[in-house]
Amino acid sequence: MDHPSETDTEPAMSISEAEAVNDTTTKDAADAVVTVTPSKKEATSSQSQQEHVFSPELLKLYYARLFPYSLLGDWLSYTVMSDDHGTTRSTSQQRPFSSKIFSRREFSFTLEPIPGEEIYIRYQSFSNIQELEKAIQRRQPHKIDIGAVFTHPPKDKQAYDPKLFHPVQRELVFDIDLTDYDDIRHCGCTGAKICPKCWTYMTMAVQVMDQGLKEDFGFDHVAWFYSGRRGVHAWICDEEARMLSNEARSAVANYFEVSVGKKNSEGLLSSSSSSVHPMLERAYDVLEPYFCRDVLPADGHGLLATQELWEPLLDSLPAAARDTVGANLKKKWAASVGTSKELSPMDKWKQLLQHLRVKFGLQDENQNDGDANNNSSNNKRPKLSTSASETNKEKHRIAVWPMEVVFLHTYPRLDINVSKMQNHLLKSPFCVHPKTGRVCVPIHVPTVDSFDPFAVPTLNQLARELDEYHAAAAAAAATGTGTSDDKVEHEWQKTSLKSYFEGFRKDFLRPMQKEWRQKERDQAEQDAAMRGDF
Amino acid sequence: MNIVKSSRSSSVPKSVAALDSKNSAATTNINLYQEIPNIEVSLDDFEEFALDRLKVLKKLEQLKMRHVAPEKYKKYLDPLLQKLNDPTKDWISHFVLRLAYCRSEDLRRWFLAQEVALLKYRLSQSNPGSSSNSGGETAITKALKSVLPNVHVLAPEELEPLLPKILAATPSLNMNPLQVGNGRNANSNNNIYRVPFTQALDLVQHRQVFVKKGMAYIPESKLLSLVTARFRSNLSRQLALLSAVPTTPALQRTQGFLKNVATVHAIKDEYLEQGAGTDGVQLTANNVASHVKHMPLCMAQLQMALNKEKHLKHWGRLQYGLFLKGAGLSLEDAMVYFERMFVGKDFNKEYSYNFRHMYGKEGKRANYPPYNCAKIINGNGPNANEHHGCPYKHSTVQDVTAMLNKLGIAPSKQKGIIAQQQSHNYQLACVEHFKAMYPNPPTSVYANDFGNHPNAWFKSSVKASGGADAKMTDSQTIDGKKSNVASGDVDMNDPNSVSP
Repeated sequence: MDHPSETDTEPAMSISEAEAVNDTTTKDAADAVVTVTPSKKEATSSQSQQEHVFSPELLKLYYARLFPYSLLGDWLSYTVMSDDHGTTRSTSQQRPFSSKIFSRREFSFTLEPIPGEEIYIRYQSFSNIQELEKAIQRRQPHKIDIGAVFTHPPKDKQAYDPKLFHPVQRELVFDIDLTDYDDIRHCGCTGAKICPKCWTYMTMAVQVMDQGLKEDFGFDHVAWFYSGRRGVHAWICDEEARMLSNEARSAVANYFEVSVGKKNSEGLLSSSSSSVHPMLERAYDVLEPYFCRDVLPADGHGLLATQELWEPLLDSLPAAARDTVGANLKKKWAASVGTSKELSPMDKWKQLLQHLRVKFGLQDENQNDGDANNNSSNNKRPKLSTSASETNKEKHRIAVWPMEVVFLHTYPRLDINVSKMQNHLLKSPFCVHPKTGRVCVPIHVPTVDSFDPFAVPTLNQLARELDEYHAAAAAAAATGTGTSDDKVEHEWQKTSLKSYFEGFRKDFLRPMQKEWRQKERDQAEQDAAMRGDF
Repeated sequence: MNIVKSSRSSSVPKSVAALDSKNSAATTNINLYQEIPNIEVSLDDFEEFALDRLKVLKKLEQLKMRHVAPEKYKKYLDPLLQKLNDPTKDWISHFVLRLAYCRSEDLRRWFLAQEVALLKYRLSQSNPGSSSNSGGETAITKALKSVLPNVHVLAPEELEPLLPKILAATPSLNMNPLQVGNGRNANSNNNIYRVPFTQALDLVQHRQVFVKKGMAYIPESKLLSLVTARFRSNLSRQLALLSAVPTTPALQRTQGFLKNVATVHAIKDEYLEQGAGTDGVQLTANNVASHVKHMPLCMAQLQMALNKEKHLKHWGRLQYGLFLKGAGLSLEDAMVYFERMFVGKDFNKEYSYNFRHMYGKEGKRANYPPYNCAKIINGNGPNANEHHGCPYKHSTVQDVTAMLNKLGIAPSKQKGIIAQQQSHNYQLACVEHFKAMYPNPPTSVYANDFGNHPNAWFKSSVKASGGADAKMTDSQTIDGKKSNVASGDVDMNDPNSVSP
């Protein structure tokens, strides 16, 4: 979890509090106000805002006008709303639904009333999303965390015997942070710093995990979010996932945990076998192209681009290979540095695999592999012929070494402690990261390759976008060419949050709601059958 | 069960006969104790049955501690198990011990471990190799069906498309299921069972089975672990529930007995009391690092990591912080020390709460005890950049050797340590480490259970080294006499005299 510490306190913001608050109550009126006043300040503010991505004033604006309360409320209710397809809904409208699950959910706020002094309040709960909205607007939390659903509303915790107050359900969550990749990040970033090069690790992680969760565990409702700074979160919301015991959570997390190259590494193979678990095989197919594209070359992490990196890599070969193939290539590559004979990092990798194959009689798996049109397929890891080498342990280790290297440099590094406990808190989606000012936006998995964390809107960018929208609308109104304002249901639709949030609603929320409705219908029919009335 | 009369009766209740006929195949069935006995039992039987079972469980623990190979258990166990041959007696005795052992976490853990070991032994005995008795159903498959009624056996046509993946996931599987797939050979010993993955967590988390769409595919050879896992989780939950149930008047008469039966194994938390500390040493912020030589490897490695990385992650802080607390480091000194060591961190903001919490000054204000070996060994293993846990279990031989070198243990003396580590006797490895440092320790040191608790190790090491580096005023305990301490802290000097 992130610990925001200092905050930018300069109050050089364009939109006044009055407007911001005003705006939620009567949208039409507010629109009118906003379009007139801020446009005057816009010229100065948009420049001065450049370096101020976060401030209490901007946060206030975000909570008042942009935070997608209805999305969060619809999601966390896990109940079908009566007006699901309704287009008239607004955040201030009371909704006739039972918010039972919602009201037993723990929220926690991190407040920072005085810069540098954080107050952390746990065990908050709200009977519905409107109450949560009010509390957020009143307290202006710098961070919101979401915990488990308990037996009783957590705010009444004190009233219950501790034995009777415990978590009953909670999404299965995963937290992946680039901080855990420090030893393999060769782009110059460490800790919370990230760049497009190291972001590819998150791209790989999202794909491997999303596939594994869906195919192996059969989960359908997996939501991914950018954490706002240096990582990603997954929320698995299927009922089966929410009901998992702590032990089952640990098991799922451990299932995905690969300990290659870490402390106490036992490698990918169990000692007695020559096969690799199907989950790892599948992950390898995803990861290997990334390894070739983003890890090996100089414009990636340069694993085989510089002598300082390739020598330790060759030294990590199992002893028999290190002293032969490894020593040999070390000499060869060192001699070729700077000459025309120097191989590209990709070709070095190919050469290394080729030498291992020849020297140790390993079989190229492509011989019986159909997907030859995969453009990097000729780098596939050599595979053992299952016959004579069965007994040769060292040979196994050599055969699996390339796969281990790929995994060491690409496989998702999970913070599994977050996943193991039902009542572990995790930062709420749609929050704003105080250090970057960026919104924790949903990530669309099919297009995760093009997800750019640096393109995620910051608070000041959003403020500017709102201003621009209203300026444009005012201009349009003045010239009589009215834009179709009636399409805007939420203020976030006026900003670049639109595509993120609408994608979330379409790809995650709607399918889940469809399932709830189906379940409700089934239940109703069952009840009717029980009572005997149809 | 009802304890209705205290008068002496025949050692086996009358209802046994009826029960026997109900479970006609009682001898091949293994009771998984899913049903609570509703039988009258005399107070004498109540006690006698429990004691007989306790003997078996204790023997099991002993065999495990002595690293007797499971093949040889028969010789030691069967004479004791004779007494539990009667299914009803077995049944009742299990439930009596549940009552006795549900009362604290340590007791529950002990009971659970031994009961699981007993079940494993019985299943392994009842299912000799692959010879299928009683109509193709082994005791294990029977037991499995009793704990998991909905288990699905894959039909050959279901099995065929999945077989390559099942084999890849479970390589220890011999190729026999192929025959099932191709030749429709209905040999039940090669069945693949499909269960929801939540029923096979242990196999799933170690990636020992194929998992697809939430289902785990379990070969016959892995069923034993499934049954025991299921048994363990059921029993664990039952014990926890039972512990919350208040005593009923009906059980009043048994309270004294139940208490006495169970206290045999109570582990003393002598390191819990504030200021228990370590006699002969006053740990302060300034001398923690110089006491590394008195620390078992799990703590020494945390200190070394702290020196090197100027930081410890969450579990490392807990393991090491509580250890130092138990060794007598005050909260104030702990704060000073860790603030100094965590270079480049905002200690007050990020960690001071953490340390106050450990000392019971925040949150629910619990006085957390230092971790004992069981907790460290069975707890979360360390991930990348983490250094907690038991190095003998969680680190490689290379890493352990490197650390021992750093601590100045001569390579010739490391052999015994490494040998124990390689045979997975983590605590014995730790004892070897102690022996390597103190080949001739005073006898009083040996009385201490330093192989079970890092703080005991620390204490013993200080004692064995004569506490020379500390501000000792009195003569030493080298000769094993405990009369050399004049002050009132005799209790702390000799762990034998500490009574809970």
